[in-house]
Amino acid sequence: MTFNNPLAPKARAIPQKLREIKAWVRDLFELDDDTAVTVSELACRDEGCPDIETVIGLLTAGHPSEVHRLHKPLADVERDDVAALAMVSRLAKAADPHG
Amino acid sequence: MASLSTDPLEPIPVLLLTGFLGSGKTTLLSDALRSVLGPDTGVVINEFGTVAVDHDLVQVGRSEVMQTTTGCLCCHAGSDVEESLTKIVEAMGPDGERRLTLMVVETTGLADPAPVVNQMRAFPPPAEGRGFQLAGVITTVDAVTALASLDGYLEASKQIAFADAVVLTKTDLLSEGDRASFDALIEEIRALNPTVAVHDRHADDFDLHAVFSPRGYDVAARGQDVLGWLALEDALAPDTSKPGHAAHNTGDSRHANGVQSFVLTSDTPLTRDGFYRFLRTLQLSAGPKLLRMKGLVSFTEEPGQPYSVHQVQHLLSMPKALGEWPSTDRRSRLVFIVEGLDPKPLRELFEATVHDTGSFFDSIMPERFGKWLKSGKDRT
Repeated sequence: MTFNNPLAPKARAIPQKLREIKAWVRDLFELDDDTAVTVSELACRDEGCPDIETVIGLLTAGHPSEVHRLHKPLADVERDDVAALAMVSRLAKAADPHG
Repeated sequence: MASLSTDPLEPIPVLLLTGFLGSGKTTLLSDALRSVLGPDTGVVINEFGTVAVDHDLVQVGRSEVMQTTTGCLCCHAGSDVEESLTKIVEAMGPDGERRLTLMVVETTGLADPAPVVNQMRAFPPPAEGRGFQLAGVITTVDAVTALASLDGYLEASKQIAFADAVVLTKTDLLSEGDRASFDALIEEIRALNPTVAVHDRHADDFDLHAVFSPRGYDVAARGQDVLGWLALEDALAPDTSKPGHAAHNTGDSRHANGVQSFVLTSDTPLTRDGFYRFLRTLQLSAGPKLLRMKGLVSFTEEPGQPYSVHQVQHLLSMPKALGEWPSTDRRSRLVFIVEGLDPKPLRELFEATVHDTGSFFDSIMPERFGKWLKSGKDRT
């Protein structure tokens, strides 16, 4: 039996999280292989902006880049956050298919 | 010396030297300037924080070495890199442009290479003169602390992903017990950048000349992640057509919240014993939140003899004697880069060191000091 110390600092493990988020995006946005997914993290001190945000780019050759923002650090992004983004994106496209 | 193009019709090749805090960028650059780079190499050193010391730690006595404004190149939109390079050309005199064989731009340890590389890829053809061309990205990777840096900071991953040459540093400090974590680090480097050339700084066959030789920098060869990050930078570029949004994501705040830099100085030399107690207390208490400490100090026991000091997370290097003061500034000065640490206790600890108040050290235990350091509350 192994003992997991609940008080131990949580590793942020950014590279692993990066790969997870990309996989969630590809799955939940139902992307084909022609669309590249890129994930980054930026900080911003503009009024009304969060301190750190995760930025997700969907890049398809010949089309404008689609950029989504999650108002939390990359390390804190969960699958449900990406699922919510994907749902909002689908609703927006349904409401304005030419937008 | 590197055999480089001096064709006055060709753009001046520019190497980008990056790597996380304390990974040995400045040391590698100093070695290269001493041994393989010609005197007609221009250098731009960029530092995070308000006081620069790296230019003092590049010990080559070169008038061409240039310090950029402090801050971070990746946080400033526009042509900061090109402006800095152009200033070097101007500083070298009327024939400087013709003589220059290479430029090296050293970023801060916290730099996101994506916007910097984007700037360097977009150097416009000059109306007159040679102009500049990105000719390689060198990333130093600390074999001891890199896994922790990769775990916590996206910038560390990006720095490796953009490299066409990775230089592993501090491999001489690894013990047999570190083998598993070193193998994991190599695996992570390969996952981030499968085609990068990996050099071991302490291997017998390490070729510094090859690392600093300009080559064509091929973005496409760096993989989909790099192409995506560059495209995302373009997509996030400020839309100046929208009032109030011109500065979005281009200000001085690209880095994670809570990372800050401050400097401690003393006009008088420090006692060696007091300073060593200061370092010991720091090492035992600060932990990984102390991202970087570096600077120059002098001791009362050896007036006139400067020492360089470095600490990276838990890894402390003992003070190293320098041949001479690199400038007319003879103050002891330490630059700290921390995340989520309160500078006040560190200032107080340093004051006690300056005034050699041993009773201060006797009154604190490192673990208590550590709690105070991280709480931001008064010491009671």
